[in-house]
Amino acid sequence: MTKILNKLIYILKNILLPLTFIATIYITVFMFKRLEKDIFGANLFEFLKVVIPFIILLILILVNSFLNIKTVKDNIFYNLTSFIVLITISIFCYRALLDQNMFLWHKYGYNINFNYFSDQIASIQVMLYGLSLANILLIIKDKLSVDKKVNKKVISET
Amino acid sequence: MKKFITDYLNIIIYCILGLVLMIASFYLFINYYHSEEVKTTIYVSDTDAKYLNYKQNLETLDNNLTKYKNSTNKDKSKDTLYNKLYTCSHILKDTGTFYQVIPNQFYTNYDIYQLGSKFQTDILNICYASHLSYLTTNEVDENLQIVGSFLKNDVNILSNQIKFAMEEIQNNSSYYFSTNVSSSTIRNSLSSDYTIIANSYIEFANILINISNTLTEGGNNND
Repeated sequence: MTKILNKLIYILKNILLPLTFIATIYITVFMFKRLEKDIFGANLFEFLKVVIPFIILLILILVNSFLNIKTVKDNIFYNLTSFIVLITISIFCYRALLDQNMFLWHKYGYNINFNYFSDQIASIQVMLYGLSLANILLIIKDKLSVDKKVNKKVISET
Repeated sequence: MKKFITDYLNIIIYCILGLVLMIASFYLFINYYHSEEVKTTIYVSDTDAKYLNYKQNLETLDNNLTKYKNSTNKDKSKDTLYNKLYTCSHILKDTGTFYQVIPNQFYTNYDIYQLGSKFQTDILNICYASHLSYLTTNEVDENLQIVGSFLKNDVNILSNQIKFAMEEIQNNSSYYFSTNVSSSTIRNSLSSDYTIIANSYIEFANILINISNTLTEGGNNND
């Protein structure tokens, strides 16, 4: 049961990450446009600060898949946390795009509440960097335990 | 040594994950509560006292204007005032004003804000500033000057209270740690802002009725 649940959460997490990434880019691009900030000019670094945590996590997901890191894939606590984080980011995007009850949704134009979303950027970064760090440490742990298993095998064979 | 590092790694990993889980759950719950708070709407029924009162005031204003139109006691200054009041009575019934509110419907904070905005742009800026502010100058008759001084004071009060209500409505987009006080501010403020804006409409219509009474009173310095 836990294995099935873990697998399900792992798949949902991998689907949600690109979706939230696209939604975040969409909102950020329009936010920069409204503030008349040049994304590929003077404000490139500011834009990258929003995008980089997503890219790091996407790269780590690819690394987990290609190197078949068991400690990440089988860790239900990590997968559940990632899932909840991505659900939270989806809710941020949903409310910025569709929650018309907030007054500034109407006032800013573009039908996006930039004020609300910019309030959430810092928390998005904290959560994604936290997940990335945990993922890197889990990969290191996996490598260390692989060495341990190899050593045990060698000892038993001799 | 490796076991020691692995154990320590475990502790660090679960601490980081716990912290991230805590932050995510916090934002998840706070967003739920915030979305519930900003969902508050105002129901304007067809028996709503403010709605009925405003309609009644405008009817009285129209009656006073018709009475003057049919009367024989006319002069140039009264005619000027009549024309200006006539224009204002139309502005007060214009699209987007409290007169056009469809009863038995729910109104969001944005709708209430629009009502306030219409009051500022059309009623204060056009009706008062462009048409009736001449009453506050020394160029009019003495009895109209008295009316004008009252008008100026009342409009100042209405202008300030509308500004306060509209600024309060804008606060619902500010995101903060939800406490009982801040939650109730969002929940209750919409109702009080609606009351302030609706009362401003009623009050302004009342002022116009008082001014229109000078048309039908008969006693005038020019008589």
